[in-house]
Formats: sequence, C-alpha cells, structure tokens
Amino acid sequence: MTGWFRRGAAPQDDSLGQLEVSARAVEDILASIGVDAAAARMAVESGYGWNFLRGSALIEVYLTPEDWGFLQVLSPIMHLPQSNLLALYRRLLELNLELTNAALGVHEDVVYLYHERLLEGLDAVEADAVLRRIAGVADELDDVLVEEFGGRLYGQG
Amino acid sequence: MLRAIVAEPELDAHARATAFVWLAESRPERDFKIDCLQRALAHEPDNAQVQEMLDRLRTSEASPQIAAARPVVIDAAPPVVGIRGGPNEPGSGFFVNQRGLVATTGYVTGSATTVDIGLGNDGTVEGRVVRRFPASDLALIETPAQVKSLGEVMPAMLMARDDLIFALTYSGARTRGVIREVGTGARSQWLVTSLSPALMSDAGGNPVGDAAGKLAGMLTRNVDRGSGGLYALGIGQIQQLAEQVQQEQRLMPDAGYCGACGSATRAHRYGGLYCETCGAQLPEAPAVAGASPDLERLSRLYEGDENEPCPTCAATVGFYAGRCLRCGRELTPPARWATGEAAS
Repeated sequence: MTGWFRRGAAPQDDSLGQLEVSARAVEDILASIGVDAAAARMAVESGYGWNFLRGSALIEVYLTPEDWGFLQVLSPIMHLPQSNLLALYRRLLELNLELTNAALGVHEDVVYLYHERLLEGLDAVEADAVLRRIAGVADELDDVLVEEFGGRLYGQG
Repeated sequence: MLRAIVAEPELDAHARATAFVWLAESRPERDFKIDCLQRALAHEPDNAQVQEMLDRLRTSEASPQIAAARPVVIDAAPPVVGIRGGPNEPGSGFFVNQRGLVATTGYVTGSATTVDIGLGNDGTVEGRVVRRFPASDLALIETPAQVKSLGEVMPAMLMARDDLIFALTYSGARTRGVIREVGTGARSQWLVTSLSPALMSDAGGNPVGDAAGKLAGMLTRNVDRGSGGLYALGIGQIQQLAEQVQQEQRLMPDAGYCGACGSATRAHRYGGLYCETCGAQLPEAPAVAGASPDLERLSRLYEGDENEPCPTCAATVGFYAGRCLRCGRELTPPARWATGEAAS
C-alpha cells in the first residue's frame, strides 16, 4: 500500500530528499513515543510506511513520494455497524467539526481517522504533534463509537 | 402438478393467474419466470402485484453466472479453495453448501464484486460476491459449482480450550495450532487460536478443522490483542448467515450487492444512486443516472417517510438520542406533556 490516496505526478528530486529526511524524523518520533520503529516498518510500494498499536487503536503512517511528498497518518477505527448508520454518520460529521488537524471519514465499510499534509515545511515538532494527536484521538474514539453504535473494532473479532 | 392445475378448465381467471405465479416460483430460470408471469397477467390484466413482479424481473439483469456459466459438478467438496481478485489476494475459502456457496473473509474480498475461485484439479471458476457481513468478517460468494457432498462439521460450542486444530491454505500448507479461547455470550461466534499472522501465507479465509478433520470454522486475520492469536469464525455462524443469504435471495430475487458495506441493495432497481444501507454510490449509478427514478419506492427504501416529522424542521428522517437526525435539534415534548395534560 502506498498510502491512502494515490497521487499521479512523478516524484521530484527535492521531494525524494525531503522524504528521506522526514522518514528519519518519523522514526525518531516513533522511538520517542515508545514504538520500535524497525518493527513498525511496513512494506509499501513506494515511500515509507509504519504501523503500531496505541491502546486499542491501530495507527498507520505513510510518507508518499507522489507529487511533492505527503505525510499521511491514519487510523482504521471500526467496521460500520449494520444499522443506525444515519445516526453514526451524523455523529461523525459533528466530531469532524470538533477535531483539529484530523478528519473522520468512511472508506468501504471502515471508519477512519485521517490526517494528511505536504512534507514541505514539515518539521519534527509538528510531525510529533500529529502522531500523538491521531493516536490519542483514535484510541479514545474507537471504544466510544463501538460502544454507542455497535459494529466491530477494526482488525478484531 | 402445478402444470396440471394451470390447465384445469374449471379454474376462474384469478385462480389461474395465481397458479401461474406459483408455477413461476417453481423454477429458478428468469425466462421461465417471465413467461409464467406474462401468462398470469394475460388471465388477470389488472393484477398490479403480478405486473410489479414482472417489471422487476424484466429490469433485472440475467445473472451471468447462471445464464452463461455451465455448472461445475464436484463429487466431494475440496477442503479448501483459492480466492483471487480481492485487494489482499490470495486468500482461501471453502464450500458451505451444496449449491456452491463459498465462504471466505471480508478482508479477502474487500469491495470486489467478482473473484476467481480456484478449485484445484477442477480448474478455476468465476465467483460473484453476494454478501459481506462486516461484524463477522465473512464474505459469501456464489459460484457455478454444484457440490454433491460436503465434509462433516464441528460446532464451535463443542470446541474446548487446547483442542488441536489445523488451518488449510490453498497453496497446500496445513498449519497446526490449538484453541486458546472459546467465545461466550455475544462473542460465541469467535474462537481465539494459537495461530499467528506470521504463520499464515495468505490473506485468510482458511478452513479450520479439528483433529478428526471436521470443519470447525474459518481463520480470519483479526488478531486477539491479548494473546496475538488469530480469530476464527465458528462454522455455526457461517452456516446461519449462509442460510440467511439464501432466504434473502428467495425473497428479493432482484436485489443487487453493495460492495462498500456488503449489504443486499435494491435502490438501483428503482433508479436510486445510493445504497439504502450505507449511502455509498452504487456501481450501477452512472448507468441509471439518466433514468427517471421511482421516487415512491425509493422513499420507502430510504425510509424517508416512515418517521414522525421533526417539530422544528419537519424532516421525517427520524431521531437519535432525542435529537432530529436532520437538524440536530432536541426533540422537546409538546407543552401539554409537561403540564400533565393527557394526550388525546
């Protein structure tokens, strides 16, 4: 998997350099929050990818070389329940308005928490804040949403 | 016998039409059904119900699997089949009934609507995904195979901790493990195994057998966070959901499949662009976008007119946790309730 959204344009030399710098920064940040970066690495078609557990939430981080290079941090939260979807959708939209630097969305039958930004101008402090924020919110939201609306936590029985 | 009844000279027009409707139900072929319903309508031209059934059948596409594919007759079900064509291919699966319904995981099929089913020496056939149950991570696939005999099963409730199990992969691997935990209550469909993702070479859907070779369930790629072991879905739940699908198909022969949520959908039959369960755009949507939708049926399907109107915005979409699902305003009880006045 390359990341969440595929981008068409070819990578530029500058973005490749930035990508490697960002990859090192992400691994440092993962280490600082207690994640074994080497163990968290995922095989991706291009760029870099890591995944790790934060509480009950699975966090995936991608650095994609497409276009100008992107940092994508996402967390698959839950499989949609079979009923009461309108109420869940409304709640997700309400939560979207409360979230900073992150969005909730639905892809196929899974609810995701998602953040994306260009690598250009990204520094370690901001990347650290994004990772911690997505991990924290995802860990908090998944149990709350499943308890209220049913469904199944992502990747669990 | 139905043929004899429809030919009975004493029957009045209504009874003869009814007999033709029953005759239509006696065989699965679409052309046969259309012919019977046309005959029913010839005897009772004002019967709106028959007309509706006929319209539905005419607008439904002929199932390519039934119409075009020749049945593959298999004497004994292979213990495992291969699945290709999903986003996480390859995966494994197995037959759950003699009509050729194959079970695998929702993770294996993803939103794919058709996949290739590898039958070992019997070659490969195309399978059509008919339902996915996200809560159970189960996908059911219709194939042109007819299976004369299936293996024995072992209900999950009869499995116990430390029972020996074997998971089969289409590539030929047979992986040994044990049951770590048998789910109870609302989780009784699940078995936690000692098998880890690293031991398995495909995306899941592997049949899990007990020491005697009886089918106990299906291995998923969902992981128990405590033990790191993979979850298996019990065979009882799989059979129950397979039966549910067969029943749905009998009741709604014109229903399609929403790859996004895995539900059966009829919205596209009435010109709707979105799945009535999850709201995802249906693959048929571009094709029907130009057609005029049947708003009355769609309204019923989308349940837009089955709720009390909101006192604030008058929308009939319903309420959740005391708030209107459209405008979000709290549903305040009429003043007479607060004053204790009895509702008339």
